[in-house]
Amino acid sequence: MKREINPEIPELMLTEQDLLRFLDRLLHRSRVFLEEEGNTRVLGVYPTDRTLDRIDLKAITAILTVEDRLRLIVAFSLEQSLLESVFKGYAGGIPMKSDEVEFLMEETAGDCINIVVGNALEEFQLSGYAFTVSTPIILKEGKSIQRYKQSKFAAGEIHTEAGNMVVLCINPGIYYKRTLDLEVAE
Amino acid sequence: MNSRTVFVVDDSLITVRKLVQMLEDLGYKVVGFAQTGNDALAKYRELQPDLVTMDITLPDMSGIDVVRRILEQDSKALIIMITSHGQEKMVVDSIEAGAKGYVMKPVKPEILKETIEKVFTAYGVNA
Repeated sequence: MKREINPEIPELMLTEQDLLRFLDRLLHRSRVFLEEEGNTRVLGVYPTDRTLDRIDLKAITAILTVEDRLRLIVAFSLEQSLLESVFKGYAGGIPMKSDEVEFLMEETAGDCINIVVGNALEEFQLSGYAFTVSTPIILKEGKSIQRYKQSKFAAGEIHTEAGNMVVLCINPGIYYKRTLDLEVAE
Repeated sequence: MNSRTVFVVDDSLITVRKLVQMLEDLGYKVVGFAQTGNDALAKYRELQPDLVTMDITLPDMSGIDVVRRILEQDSKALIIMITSHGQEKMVVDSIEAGAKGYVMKPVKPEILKETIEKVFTAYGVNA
């Protein structure tokens, strides 16, 4: 699925301002998804005006990478109660067996990040840059992540009637595995 | 219910379930689904649907490759892509490969119906 990279065009490394601007688009699009697709009322959106050194993840985290010339990790970390609420709205009465519920709930988190990142990338207008978006992975582990070397962390929070969610961007993401563990030995 | 048949290809089971329900609510007959490219190719031969909805990202090959390989089997196959924003280049590649249209996620029933009907009308598939 990876396309060839033109070596004459350098990897895009976002400035702190661009990263925060992209985070703003992600937060906006996440709110739209939570309300329109997840039928969950948003109480407040809290962007940040600076990058951070550490992030604490919540119970469920959906992660995807935007690769090629733009190398960026995006993670949506949700409280379990929020995921359950979004799942109820998103699944909207589709037939399912009781032993499928947990898996379909995780797929809902994956669909959420996939759709939101796609919409945010379009609004961010990265025309001229070729990139591919990975399939999402789901992490079920509330851990802390430390910033490493030149990587920048931008994160904002969304508070809803059903619980809270953290939206995190890491750029460049080359120092991290897709599980958000460090790729390189410190 | 009209008699036109649709085959759904998407790696996400929840998306498959949502699309199946949406298509049935719109009056189409969903004859099957697949979550991988290889499964899609095998089932297409067996099911011979009037139309395929195809995800761009599949675990074993890209949806674009599946489009090409289905069209090698059946040059009259009608396939529309189901895709996220941010994959516009891949949508263009899909259309060049022979897909007849596309719908952006999150899929809205009215847009899906409009796109399918345009394709059926253009290629003379009647209810």
